[in-house]
This record gives sequence, structure tokens and C-alpha cells, in this order.
Amino acid sequence: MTWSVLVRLIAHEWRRNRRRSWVTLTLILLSAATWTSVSFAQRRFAEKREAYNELVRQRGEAQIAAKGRVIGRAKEVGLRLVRRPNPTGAFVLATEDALPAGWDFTPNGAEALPSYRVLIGQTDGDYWWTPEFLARIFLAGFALMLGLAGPLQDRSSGWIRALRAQPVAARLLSAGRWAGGCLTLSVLIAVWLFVMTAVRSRESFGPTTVELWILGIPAWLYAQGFLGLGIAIAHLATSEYRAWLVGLGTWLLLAVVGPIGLPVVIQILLPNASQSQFERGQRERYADAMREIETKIGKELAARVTGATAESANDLLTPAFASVERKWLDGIAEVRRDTDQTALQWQSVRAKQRNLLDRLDLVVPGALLNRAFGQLLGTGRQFAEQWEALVRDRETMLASRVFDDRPSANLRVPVAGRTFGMSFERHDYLNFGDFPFSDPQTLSLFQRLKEASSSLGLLVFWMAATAIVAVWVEARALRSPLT
Amino acid sequence: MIAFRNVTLEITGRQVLRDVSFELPHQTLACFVGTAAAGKTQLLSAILGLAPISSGQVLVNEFDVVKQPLPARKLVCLVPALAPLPTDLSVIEALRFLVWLGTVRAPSMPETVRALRRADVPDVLMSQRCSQLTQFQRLCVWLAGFHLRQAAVLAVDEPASDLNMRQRERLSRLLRRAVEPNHQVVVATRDEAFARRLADRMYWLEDGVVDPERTTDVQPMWPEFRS
Repeated sequence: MTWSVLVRLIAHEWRRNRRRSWVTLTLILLSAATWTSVSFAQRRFAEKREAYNELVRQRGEAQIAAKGRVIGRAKEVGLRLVRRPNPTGAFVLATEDALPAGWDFTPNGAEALPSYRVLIGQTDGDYWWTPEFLARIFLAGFALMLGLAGPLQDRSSGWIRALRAQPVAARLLSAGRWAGGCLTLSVLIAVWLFVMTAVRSRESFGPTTVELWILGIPAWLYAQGFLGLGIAIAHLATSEYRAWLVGLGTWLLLAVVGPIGLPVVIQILLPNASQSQFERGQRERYADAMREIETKIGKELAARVTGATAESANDLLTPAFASVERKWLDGIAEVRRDTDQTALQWQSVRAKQRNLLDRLDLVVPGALLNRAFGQLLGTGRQFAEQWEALVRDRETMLASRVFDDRPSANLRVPVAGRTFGMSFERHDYLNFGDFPFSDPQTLSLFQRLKEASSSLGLLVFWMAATAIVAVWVEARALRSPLT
Repeated sequence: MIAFRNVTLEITGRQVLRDVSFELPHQTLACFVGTAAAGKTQLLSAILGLAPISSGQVLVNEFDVVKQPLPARKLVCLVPALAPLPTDLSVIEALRFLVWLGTVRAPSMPETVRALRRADVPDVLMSQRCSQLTQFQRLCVWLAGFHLRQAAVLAVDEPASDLNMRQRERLSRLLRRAVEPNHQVVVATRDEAFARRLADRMYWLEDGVVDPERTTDVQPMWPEFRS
């Protein structure tokens, strides 16, 4: 009996929702918006791929020009690590978009290349228009409206008094309303996914159909949460006007401003220089320190060849350099230790920022949805960490083979009133072949689901908590005496 | 049968019914008359087990509404004030849903149409949205619901407040028609004249207390009601 009544209530709620003209309007708008957003995503990905191919072409040219050796002007291109753009990343503003297009390596660390969109001079006008953005904004707003509309309409028409008098448990009535809303939202999400799949197939790019439809899970959980919240607000607010106002505020806070504002809040709580500011500062410090060492070593070399003529200085400098080489290497190591120390401090604050962001994400469902989408599309934290590890490995290798132990030493030595530019060959140069383009392993669907499990778990909690609150609040309202 | 035995109702610290006792036999149309906030609607709430009864007992056909609210509520069809219906559904859909909630099976379409005709609802209104109905038409739909549900008690809250004389007469006739063997009709109204013309028995409520001096058995004034 209970089940059959519940089914009737769900069917009734579904029929009512279907009749609402704004439900149909939202469905049409969402479909159109999804169509455009996936098309934008496709265009963006095509541009990213073009920029990637350009970087690959530059490397090929440099390799030919330098005859395969990483020297001179070819050094920057030869050492460069270039990231292959991820087509799934076009569906969500996540790590994929935050990660640089590649990294150039300098003595004081990795210097990030600008992201692809900046690299190719694309404007950011349509950049936020992603399927994830649509889900976050549209679904939250729609679910809140759906949650608010039913109870408010019943209250204003007096139908809620009629419902109170029915021989059905109040909890069952409220569960029916919630479940009917769930059904409506499920249909809307299915349409959204279907449109995405259709456009993706037409453009033939991006995630597979399975990968796309898996996005329905976080979207569904996220929207149900707002539905429950809407029902609860409708019953708790003393007037219809207040209910809509509170609903609007909730939507703005949890779906729009919250996810955007969190990084700003974190920067206020834990101030830290941005990556580009930090890297610029590091480069200047390194250049200053190197100049100082080279001047000092140059003067010492000059003292060792005192009295030599300009012609004999050249022959004397090579053995003299061998005697000061240790000092020269120690000087470089000291500079690197110093700059590494600063980098470690910067990274430590950055790690704290990340941890704080992770925690604050938990209380903002919009941010949680963004995280879940990123993880499910394989551009989450794990993806970023893989690239970070790859960059660190390359950095460590280059520090030991190129920067700390340089193939050549270039010094300016003042001798007999003139300055000699001296270059000492120390060991073999590196080759392009030593630095291949290497992508980290692509995450499997299982790995992505595993990574997203915590986000999905929290979204389940968000949905369950709001559902319980909604059912409880409405049941309480239905149990109150007639007025 | 509806029986109130020394019932006291308290809502937010205020006694809305005080020591109310009465017994309504079958085949009776009883009117509870009183001014605003006299406790009429709360009395109907008590029949449905919705009001917090602080002392006493309310029985609907032997079911205690506090201990067994749902079986008791199954026997009662309450028409709230202004006879609300879900505005976004058609008359037939709303009626079927209403009946469906209270019974095991949904009424068939012919049954629904028959009940609507019996309650004087014109065929042309049946497929229209409930938002387009007048209060009288909505009351008629509710009465059709009562017939379909086959409930024992029809409780109507303020049915005549916005009706003209002609509609009152038609409503009275429909309400009288609902008084059948094993059925009771309870009407809460502010309108004494309407109650006098309609009821078999009239109870006066004042500040939550039934006034015994003004509680009387009356003869309905419209002779056709007796037919």
C-alpha cells in the first residue's frame, strides 16, 4: 500500500512539474546552451591542439638547426617539456585549464609556459561557457525553483490543507513530492547528457559516451541537493516573497559566487605570491647571485695570471680555471640551495592553500561539482600531480647535468686592462634525444572513479542531508492543525 | 458515528477547545456555528487527528483519532475552507488523485464522470483546469470526491462564505443529499442562517466551548431536503 501510494504521489508530482511552462522553457534553453557550449569546447580544443603542434614544430626546427645538440638558442626549446592537450578538459574549467601548456627550464627552476589559450592569443570571452558551468548554474537554479514552486503553490492555493486531511502519512506525502521532483530532474539531466552526446558525436572529439554519461552522477546528486533545499526553504519561509528571496541568495552563494570566490578567500587567509610573480623574483635573484660569483671567480683568475700579457693569458687561464673550478661549482650549488629554499617555502604555502581549498570545497556544492567533473574527466588533482612529478623529475635531472654541473663555464676575466670572455668546455653537451616529449599515463576510467569517490561521497551526503531536511520539514508542516 | 468526550485542545499555549463533548449519530447533518476563532476549524482538525488533543477522546466509528489517526482519517472526507484544488490539474485529474490517495484503487473514468454528474458538475467543466473553477464548482468537485471515496463522514469548513443565495441553496441540496444511512455531514460555518436552513442539529461554539443553551435540533427549512 505504502509503495503504491508513493508511486501515485510521484506520478502526480511529475505530471504537475511537466505542466509548468518554465520547466519546458528551461529544458529548451538548457539544450540550446549545451549545444553551444560543446561546440565552443570543440573549437577551443582544436585551437589548443594547433598550439601544441606549433610547439612540436618549433622543437623539430631547433633540433635540425643545432644538429641534435642542446646548445645555444636551441637550449630553451630542447629542454622544454610540452603538455599534450586533453580533449576531455574542454568540458570543465579544471586542472587541465589551470595547467600551463608546457615548461621551460631555467637554472632556478621550471618556468611555466602560458596556458594554451593565452599562448594562441584567444580571448577569454566564451571561456566559462562549459558544460560543467551549465550544470552548476542551470541545474542548481532549476532544482531550487522546482523545490520552491510546488509547496509555495500548494500553500497559496490552499491545497496543502487538503493534503493534510488525506489518510496518508505526512512523511509519505513529503517523500512523494521530493521523489517526483527527482524524477523531473532526472529527465532534465538525461536530456542534457543526450544533447552533449549528440553534439560530441557530430564533432567527433572529446570524451567517450560512457565518460560523458558518468558525469550525470555528480550532476544528479548536486541537483537533488538543491531540490531538497528548495522544498525546505519553501516551508520554513514565512511568506512566498521571502522564500524566493532566500532561494535566490542560496543559489548565488552555493552555485555562483561560492565556487568563484573560494580562491580569493584563500588568498586573503593565506597570502602567497602568484606563480609568475614568484618565478620572476627567483630568476632575478639567481641572475644577481651568478653575476656576483662570476665576478669574484673572474678576479681570482685574473690575480693568478698577474703579469701575463694579453697573448700569454689565454694559455695560462685554462690551467688556472682548473684550480678554481671547485670554488666555482660550490658557488653555484650555494645559489641553488638558496633559491631552492625559497621555492620550498613557496611550495609549502601553496600546499597549505590547496589543503584549505579542499576543505572549503566541502561546504560549497558548486565547487564540489566542479571538482567531481574534473576528476571524472581525468583532469583532476591526480592529473596535475602527475605533471608536477614529471616537471620535478626533469628539473632534478637538469639541475645535476646542466645547471649545477654545466657543460661549459663562461667567465669574463680582467687581464692587463682588458676583459677576456672565457669559455671552458667541461664535458659533453646534451642532445635533444635525452629530452623526449613524455606524457604521463592517461588515467583509466576506474582510476578516475576512484579519485572522484570522495567528491561523489560528499555529494551523496549533500543530497541525503537536504532530502532528509526537506522531508522532515514538509512532514512537520503537513502534521500541523488546519487554520 | 463521531464522539467527542471531554476534549480539550491546546495550540501554542492557548486552549482552542475546552471540555467539548457531543455525539453525532449516523444520518445526521450537524452544523457548528460560531464567530471567527471560536474553534470551528480546530474541531474539524480534531476529527482528523491533526490537532494536539491535550485531554479527552475523539472517536470516529470506534477509531480513536489519536491512537489510530490514519484509519480514522480514511473515514472522513474533509473539504477545507475555499475548497482548494491543485490549480495545475484538470478537474478529472484532481478528483482521481484526491480519491486515489484515500483508497486502494484509482476510480475508473466512468465512475469519476458519474460522481461528478451526481455532484452537479457540468460535463463541460470536467476537462478544464481547476484554476478556472469558481468556489461553488470546486465544492461540487469535492462532493464528488466524497461520493467516490465512500467515506463515512463529510466534514466541510466554511462552505458558504463567498456564495450567492442561489449557490447556497444548490449547495445545501447537495449536502443534504450526502446524508445517507451510515453517513454523517459536519459543517463548520459562521453563517447562522445558512446553518438553520441546512442542519438537523446545530451546535454553538464560543471561545472553544459548546454553548448548551443554543445547541438545538432544528428542522431544515427547505422542505425538499426531507425528500
